[in-house]
Amino acid sequence: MGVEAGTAVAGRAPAGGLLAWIATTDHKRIALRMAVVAFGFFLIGGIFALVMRSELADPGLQLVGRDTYNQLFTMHGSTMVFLVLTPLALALGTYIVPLQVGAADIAAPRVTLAGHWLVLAGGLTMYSSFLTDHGAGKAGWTAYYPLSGNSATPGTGMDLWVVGVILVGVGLTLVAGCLLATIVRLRAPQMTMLRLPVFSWTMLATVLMVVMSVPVLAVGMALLLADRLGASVYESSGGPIAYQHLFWFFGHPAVYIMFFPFLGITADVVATFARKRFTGYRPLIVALIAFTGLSMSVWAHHMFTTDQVANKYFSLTSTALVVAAGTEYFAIIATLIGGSILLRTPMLFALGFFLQFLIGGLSGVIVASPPLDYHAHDSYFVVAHFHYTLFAGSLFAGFAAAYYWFPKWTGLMLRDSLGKVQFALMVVGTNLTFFPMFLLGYDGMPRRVADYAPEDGFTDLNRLSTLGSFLIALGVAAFLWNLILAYRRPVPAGDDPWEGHSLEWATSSPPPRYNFRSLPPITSHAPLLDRRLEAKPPPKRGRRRVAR
Amino acid sequence: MRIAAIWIGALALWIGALSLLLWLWTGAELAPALLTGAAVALAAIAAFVAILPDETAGPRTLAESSLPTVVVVIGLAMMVNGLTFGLFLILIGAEVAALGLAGLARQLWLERGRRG
Repeated sequence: MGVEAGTAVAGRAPAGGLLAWIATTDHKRIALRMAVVAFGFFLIGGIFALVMRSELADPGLQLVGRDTYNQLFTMHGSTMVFLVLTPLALALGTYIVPLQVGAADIAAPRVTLAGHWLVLAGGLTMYSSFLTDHGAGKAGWTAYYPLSGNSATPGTGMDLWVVGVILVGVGLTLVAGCLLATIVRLRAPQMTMLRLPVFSWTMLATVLMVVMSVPVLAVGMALLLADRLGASVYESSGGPIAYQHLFWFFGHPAVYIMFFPFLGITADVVATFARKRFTGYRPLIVALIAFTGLSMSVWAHHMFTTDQVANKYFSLTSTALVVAAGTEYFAIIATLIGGSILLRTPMLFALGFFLQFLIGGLSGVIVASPPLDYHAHDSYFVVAHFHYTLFAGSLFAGFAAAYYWFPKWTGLMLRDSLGKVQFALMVVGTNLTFFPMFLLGYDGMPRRVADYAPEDGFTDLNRLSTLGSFLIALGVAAFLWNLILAYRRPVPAGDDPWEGHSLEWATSSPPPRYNFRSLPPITSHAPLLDRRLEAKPPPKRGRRRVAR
Repeated sequence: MRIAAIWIGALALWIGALSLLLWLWTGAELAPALLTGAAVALAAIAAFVAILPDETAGPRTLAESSLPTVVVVIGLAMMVNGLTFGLFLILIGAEVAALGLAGLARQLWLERGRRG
């Protein structure tokens, strides 16, 4: 027997028009706006990347000068971290978590709305810096002091970059706080903590890291702004190191903020398309808690070469991450084993995340070791490493989420065949772009440079990398075409096209204003799978037991 | 007590243990202080979650849209940008934020009235 969905008044017609577009209090609509804004910034940040890759295809400066190049890589990194992946992760959580926990709404929807607008305002502020005399911020997305100080990087553009980051930081913290409150306070009566779907657990870990780390970034940036305005905050001898601590105390957890939700998506997608209950749920939850704690305590591995941090401690904690990460990987592998695997587009992207993130993770073990990091630091090896984690990893899972939940968001299907074309283009493009960077970095090509000499021997690998980046662009174009097709020639999706396991598939597509008319019984982290298995007779002996 | 508080508390303890290890490992103060601060913040969240009262069921009176919220954010963004552009923008932003807050107060008052 199901339970009534709290006090939900299902089916109330949502408000339309411009007002609803900009000021809705429906968590689903806010989340979709957040995702659309993040995708818009992704396209702009991607164009910056293409310009940079084109510039690097040959020695010499052909397209842009050094100053413009500095602005481009600063804004590319800032865009992807502050305005794309982190907001996208929180957007997915804002839409899906209330549904997965059986809540009628998100906690404090107005605060979520305010958070979304602060992120957008921060992004626009950062981008407005292009209109200033000295151009946009150009001290890298890390804005290391004293490079980001007023004497090294004068001008209003850098000030606006700092102001933008502060606004984004406050906005992200507000959205995360609402999600945290939703998970701890608004779960359906039968939804115990150990019945939360994996994605909701990963979002819980994510929002806890956001509320612990992002305020520190906001403080660090506020101090940097004060410094730039003449307060001399970071002027002392330990000032630059203090800045790096404040920045990386956010900056490294941010990597996991941009990883955990996408791991959760992968877990949900793999279980659904292996048509089997997620295996190793409890070990994964314990590993996630361990991982969250460790990921808060590894930040200074970015500072090994400063010789100002406890290298052994941070090397130990960084290396220990592989135990927690390995547990999560083995849980996903165990889910695949014995499953009746269906290779639809969401599954392909989830597997792409799974395999490619592994390359990023294992190269992370190399830079977690101080002697090896001394060689790789500030080289293209590091660029390859974090692009394998964030692009080849998280963004692939982002596309898995898009294909998986698009039917829930819109009631329409994306074309599977076009999705597979996109996947192929992106897998080839991604590895062609980023794998040569490992070799370039190992050979000594420094990062953040607009040019290199012909005799350096970097040209061929750079050309390969540039070719790969344009294949990625083609893949993204295929996704845009798929979106257009979905609306111009709609294919209705139905409420549960994938035979999903968690509660978001128990309501209509798209869901009503307050999410559910009634909830099914919640007996595990896969209540819909439970219901399906209950309704079917037990399988005959000798036949593989699958969920459909 | 909410079971979620136990999970968050466990994480706070784990980060606290890691920060203790860092205090023992290093002579510097900022890094272990940051980690200890995170553990304390998390412990405070766990404590808050533990004592939080259950949400009371009732009719949903939430407005379908909240323009005043957006106005408050625009005002705040103008104020922060004013740190770069000058006092005039801080003052204009403060006025816009005040206007938004007034609208928000009115909206909340109307919602409370609908709840009776």
